[in-house]
Amino acid sequence: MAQETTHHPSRAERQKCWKVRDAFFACLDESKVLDPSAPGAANICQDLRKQYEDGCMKSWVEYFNKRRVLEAEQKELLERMKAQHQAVEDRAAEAKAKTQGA
Amino acid sequence: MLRSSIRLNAFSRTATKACPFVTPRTAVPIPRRSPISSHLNFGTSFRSYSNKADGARAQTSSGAGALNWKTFAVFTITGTGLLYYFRQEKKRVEEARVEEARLARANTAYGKPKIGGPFSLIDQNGVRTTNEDFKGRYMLIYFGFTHCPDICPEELDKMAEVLDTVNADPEIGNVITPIFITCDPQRDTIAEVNEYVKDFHKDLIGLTGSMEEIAKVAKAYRVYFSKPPKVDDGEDYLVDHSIFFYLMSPEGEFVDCYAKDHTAEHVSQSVKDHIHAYLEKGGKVSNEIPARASNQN
Repeated sequence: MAQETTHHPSRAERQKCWKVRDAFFACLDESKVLDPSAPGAANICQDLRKQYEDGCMKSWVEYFNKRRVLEAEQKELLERMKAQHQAVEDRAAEAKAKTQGA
Repeated sequence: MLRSSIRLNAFSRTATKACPFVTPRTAVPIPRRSPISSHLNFGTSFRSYSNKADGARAQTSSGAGALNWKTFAVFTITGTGLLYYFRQEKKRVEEARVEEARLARANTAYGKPKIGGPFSLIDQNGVRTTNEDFKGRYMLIYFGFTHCPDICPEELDKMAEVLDTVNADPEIGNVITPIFITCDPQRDTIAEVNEYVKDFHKDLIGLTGSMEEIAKVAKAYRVYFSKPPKVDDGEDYLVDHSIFFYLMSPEGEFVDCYAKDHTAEHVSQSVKDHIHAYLEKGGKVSNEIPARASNQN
């Protein structure tokens, strides 16, 4: 009874979806393509893309694709902020060393 | 200006008895005038709070030398008085500030956010279930939906790990009822929820209800959720929602909440600490899973 009305992915289906997603994204990484919907992504990893889009619900594919781009942007921003912070600290340490030396 | 100061002086002469501290202040403009009048003024004010009023008047006419030490005495007395007064006042203000800070601290330390409240929903076996059914045990509540791509299942797996860790503590035992509440009641029927909760933990209770009932419980737990505005029939969609666990006390009150970046170890330890603290204070908590109609299948 429950089986017939159940539409949400089971644990096994979820895990299968994550697996094919990771494989497809790894393939994009190799070609240095970030956005799966970018024109440059259309001609690469086609088999893996098909497995991914068949193995995951449509809304999940949209969500994972968007999140891949967002996460990369966030990571880049964070690294840039870290680098800036490091530069400020280096300068401060340099200035301190100078005043102590003088 | 001059006129007003004269008037003030005239006033002070008659009013000094009521308020001795007025005198030095009204006396300020006086040195501009003749020294005699200044002395006279102090003499008068001194007299006002001296019992030897007659003697003072006699000395006023006798010479400036005696007046000087009296002036000095008045200055010293009023000065000391003022100093004392201001010190007291400063102390009072400081004490008030300390008290205020203490109250503010007390409020942050003991204030509990108003999260949670009564609910009435349907469990995974179709049984009407309310918060009263879980009284006497802790609740660990998570809001999600069965079509959730990755965060909900990961969080529910974490919840299961926390449960097993806490249940394995011999001093605590099984005192927590884990609860999953859907924020997608349109798709999450009783059957969907039934299938879903089996995936995570044998004790996990899955609750669904009407949109109204779900919206009410989500509001009580300060959970935000939103379904995309335009969804065609048969098309799948995701529900955006907040992703916290809530630990609720055996009395049904909010204890703590945990976010996605808290590890299972962190949450387990925190939950154990809360329960130990509760038991040490003499709190009672049931380690019996309540016999519910829905446990029989």
